[in-house]
Amino acid sequence: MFAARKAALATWFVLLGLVILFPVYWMLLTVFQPAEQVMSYPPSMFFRSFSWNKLLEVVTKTGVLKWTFNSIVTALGTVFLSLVVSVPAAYSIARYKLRVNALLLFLILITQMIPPSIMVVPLFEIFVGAGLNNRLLSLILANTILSLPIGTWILTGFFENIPREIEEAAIVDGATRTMLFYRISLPLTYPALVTVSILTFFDAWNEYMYAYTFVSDQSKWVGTVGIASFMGQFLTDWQQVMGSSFVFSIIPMALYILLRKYIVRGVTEGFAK
Amino acid sequence: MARKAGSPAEGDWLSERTLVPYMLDVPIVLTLIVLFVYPVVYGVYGSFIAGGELSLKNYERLWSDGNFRNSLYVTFLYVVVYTVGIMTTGFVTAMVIDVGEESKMPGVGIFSSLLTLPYAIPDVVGALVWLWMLNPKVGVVNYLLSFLGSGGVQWLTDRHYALLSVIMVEIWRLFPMHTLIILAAFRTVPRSLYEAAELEGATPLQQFIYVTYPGIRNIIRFLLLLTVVWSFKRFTMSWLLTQGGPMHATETMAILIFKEAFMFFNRPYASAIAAILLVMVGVVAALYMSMPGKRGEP
Repeated sequence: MFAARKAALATWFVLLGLVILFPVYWMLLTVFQPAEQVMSYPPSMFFRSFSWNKLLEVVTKTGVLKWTFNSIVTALGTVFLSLVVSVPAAYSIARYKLRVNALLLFLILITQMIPPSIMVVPLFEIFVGAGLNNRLLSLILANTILSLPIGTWILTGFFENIPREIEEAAIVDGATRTMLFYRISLPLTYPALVTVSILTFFDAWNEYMYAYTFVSDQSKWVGTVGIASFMGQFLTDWQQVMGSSFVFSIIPMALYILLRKYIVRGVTEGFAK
Repeated sequence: MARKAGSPAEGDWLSERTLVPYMLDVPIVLTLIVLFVYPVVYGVYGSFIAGGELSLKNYERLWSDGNFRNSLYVTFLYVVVYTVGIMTTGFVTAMVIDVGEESKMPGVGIFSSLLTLPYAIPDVVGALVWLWMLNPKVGVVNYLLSFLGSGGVQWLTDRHYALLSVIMVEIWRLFPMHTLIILAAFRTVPRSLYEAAELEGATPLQQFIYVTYPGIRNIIRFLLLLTVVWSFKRFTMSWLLTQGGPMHATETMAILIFKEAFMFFNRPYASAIAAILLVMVGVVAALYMSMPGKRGEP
């Protein structure tokens, strides 16, 4: 390879990397500098001095920790409900070629394609009618519908790849059909379960429209609604907005760093095997 | 995989009559009926309610509503520009990584792992950071551009730039997913084909046109259609960046539905707009479903 081509490539990399990462850098720079530094213009592009003050203030004086906790409850609840519903169905679709399952797969594909903006009004009215508004449960239910299709799809593909010979051997040893599912196939899908869990968790963590409309009680807000509420009509304390954004991003960032392998697999699953 | 799963042979344990698969389906069927089918039907039904009785008034109003016509236009522009933009960005990035890995450039591994970072950043956080950076007076973007001699651009408040700015932010947030998918598509092309082409003296460009492209064409086609479907789902970032403004310049159907339902409290009318959107998504979905040999979704 020619040196010139290598240099061109390196330039591309650096440029792309800068564009992608700059907003994250800018968030950190805004949070961890003294207020005077952030408010001054022209802005400083580098850390001149470091300060925890604003972060401490945001954590102690606003509801951001409470809201983040609500997000944790909502996201974990969504992961749990999604898995309980999707795992058995995925196994059934992968193993048993029934007309019902073909229909089910079709319905799942349709569900995956419908925008939340179509669902938000009817779900709002149904939840209000059932007295579920202002409860995190309403968000768990709505988020489950968002993530269920992809989860079932990925898991189905995974179950299909488990050789049936393993189950056949178990049958010879006297296993029942339900045992095949719980004892044989399910433990083998562990990596797919991690992938589906993390994608579902991210989706639930990210959701804003349902959370904004279904829950008005401030103490029940999730993180997305809470930090967006810091945006002022006329005046915005950007350091506060970035501080709460930072707190709210810690968990997904940490999960991303720890479980990137599973995320990449989840994103590309089904497209290019 | 020796045999296709789920296709039982004669006398197989899978072909015996049993209730087990039906039982396993019960939870998801119940969930989809209660939380998906019922709300969709409920919403469409609600769109035919006006003044407490069944009528077509909401749909009649659509005809004369300039905001609705505008939202159709904005949605169309949004979908086209977003789809073209994110496919291009995803493609270019995937090619850069691919070439980088090929030539064993140091740092490629780190770069490609950083690349997917925006995926971990919630829509709300991404929108707020960009709102802060794109602030026309004190934002860092205009500050940096001032070195290039540019005057202060009103990124989100000038109606000529707003939609494009919103789309750029959306692409920043989501293009890594496209890059990963396209990169994975590149990997499906067998290495031996490239080696053969190289022996025949094909240039890198010819290799791309005659080897890579035919190999990934199908995946790209599916990705393209799914990107269109996904683009209808986007709401949060554009809502936080512009709330549909300035002067309705970024008011997609999703945003108009939200405004009508939860700011003007006209939920039946919002349902009528949602029903039109449902039909539009349905058309794209039908296109997707009718594609031969379609694959799953990520």
